[in-house]
Amino acid sequence: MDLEWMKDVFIAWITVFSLALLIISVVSYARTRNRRILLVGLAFLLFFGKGVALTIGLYWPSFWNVTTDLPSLLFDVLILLILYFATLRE
Amino acid sequence: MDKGLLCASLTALLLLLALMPGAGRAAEANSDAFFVLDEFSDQPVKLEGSASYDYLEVKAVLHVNVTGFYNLTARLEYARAEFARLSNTSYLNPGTHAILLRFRNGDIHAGQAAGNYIMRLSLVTPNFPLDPIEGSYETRYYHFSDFNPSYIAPYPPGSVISFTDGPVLHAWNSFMNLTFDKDTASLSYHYTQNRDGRNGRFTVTFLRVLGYLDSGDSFFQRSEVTHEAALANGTWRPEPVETGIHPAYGPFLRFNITYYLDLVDLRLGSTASELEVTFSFHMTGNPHTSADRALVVAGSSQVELQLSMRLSHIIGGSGLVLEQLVGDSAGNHEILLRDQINEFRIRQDDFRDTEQRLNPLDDESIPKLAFINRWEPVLYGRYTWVTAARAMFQNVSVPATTDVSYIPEGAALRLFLAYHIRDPKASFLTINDTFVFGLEGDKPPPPRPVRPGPAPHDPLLYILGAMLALAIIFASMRYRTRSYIEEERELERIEERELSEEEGEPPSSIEERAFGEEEEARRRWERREKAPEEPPGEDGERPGDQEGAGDPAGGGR
Repeated sequence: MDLEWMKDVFIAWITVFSLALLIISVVSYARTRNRRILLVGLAFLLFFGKGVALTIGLYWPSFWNVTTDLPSLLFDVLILLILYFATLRE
Repeated sequence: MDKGLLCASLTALLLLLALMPGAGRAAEANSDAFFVLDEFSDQPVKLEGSASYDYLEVKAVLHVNVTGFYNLTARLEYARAEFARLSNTSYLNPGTHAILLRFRNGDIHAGQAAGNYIMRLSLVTPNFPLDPIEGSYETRYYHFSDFNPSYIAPYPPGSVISFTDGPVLHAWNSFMNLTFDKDTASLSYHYTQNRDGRNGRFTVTFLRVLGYLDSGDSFFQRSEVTHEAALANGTWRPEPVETGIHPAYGPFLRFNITYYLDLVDLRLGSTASELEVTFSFHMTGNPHTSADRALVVAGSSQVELQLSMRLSHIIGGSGLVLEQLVGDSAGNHEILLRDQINEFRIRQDDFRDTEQRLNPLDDESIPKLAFINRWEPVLYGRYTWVTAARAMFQNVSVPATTDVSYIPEGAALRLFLAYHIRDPKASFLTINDTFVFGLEGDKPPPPRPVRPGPAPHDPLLYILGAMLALAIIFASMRYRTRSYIEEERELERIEERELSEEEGEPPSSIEERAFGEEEEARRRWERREKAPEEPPGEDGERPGDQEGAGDPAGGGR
């Protein structure tokens, strides 16, 4: 069974969730001025960069051929989901 | 430096490394075979009567996991300059094989190199034709002057590469009688014509007879025609026959027979004006047990040809042995390949319309094959049939079977026809025919198809995924907001309730409440004090009730 189509969905999830977490961490930093939150935000920024790079590699491989495999993407999505819901639970 | 910052930097570095192009790709390794480099060795070989070395012989050891045809190319280099190259294709069974690579003295001397030569190997395997196995070996120290260029050593049998367990007897015609005299190192062979083609037989009288074609660079490569065989009256007599004693392989004989073919590709309109088809004859004494051989068809677009064949030899009589029909999967092209040892002149444009039966055998016995053309090597199974070939050895006569396979080699296509004996008692005999032909003409051959890339990704899926993620975020945020609102409302309700209680009855202090309770307790005590003076009634009514009943104000209440 070809599961290649799931890459599209997972990469979209990575990008969106990392962006959401990035926004949340930026807002939190603006409120608290806690530098740890800034570092966490930096991690989410890198995740977001990864999502953008993978998106480019997915649709414009001639521009930047960034590839990865499906299990890695699945783990990334799970990590981001857990972080997101953990943030939501305070 | 802050520990957190350090951890974040490391994480970022790892992510960047993971994003490097191709980092996530796992290359599929060629597992068909591998070189056993530890067992490689090299030595110079001096022929009888030679003043200096005639060959540089390198023994390479190869372990094969998959049955099929293997193409080995060996390049001898010094200081990254190549000065000798060998190439050959052989059919190998699983196991470890010793390969003797012999580089000629002339090539080595021309290289003018002194030092440790580097031999680079490239092995094209059946299942990974695009991913050859590479290997290299460093020889001992040699000086080019050690190899005498004045004497060009004859080639070893078959080619300059000898697979020790490969097919060891190559001969085309099963109607040929061979006789070899080991004392005089002479070989005689007779072509026996018979209408039913079944009386021909091999008689091998000496097991280390070698005969091979070509005086060119390689056994399989085309070279100038030095001899033409003339067949008449059932006896095949080549013109000058070169015989000698090979130090490694014993007596040898070589001769050339050349057939001229015209290739016409009706679809492309291209022709190869003259095509040399080489029939090989050589034998050696290694008893070869012929096992069932799977057929590997490594197709190429050059299979998609219309083949019109004209054999220029006049043999007379009859004896078409084999006829093959090769077509592509779409059925647009077919190759009808006919060969025979008799008068065979045919020039026809489209064999699909008309088939000429030149075979004296029964029509039903003519084997026909239809291959599906593929670029990737595909195991199509074994195409075997009983041919008219028969082998006789030590009074055991058995029929031969035929395997067919096609191997692309650059712009050329090699067709292997192998007839081998299935009877284990006489299975030493294998007959191979090799046809090498290529494309010429004003139109180039069809381009090699590129490997199908991965399926293009659909942006719609990406958008749907992003929308789904946004929906999850929105829903979770909304849920979270609602819980905040409900909590706030609950607080408001409690506050309102408390406020309303304050308005109806003023709050009493603890002291007041304590005083009220004391008053209430005193009243209850007084009532209890009065109660024993009035006994309860018969109906069990309580004293308070009777009291209440006697009171007109209480009854009216």
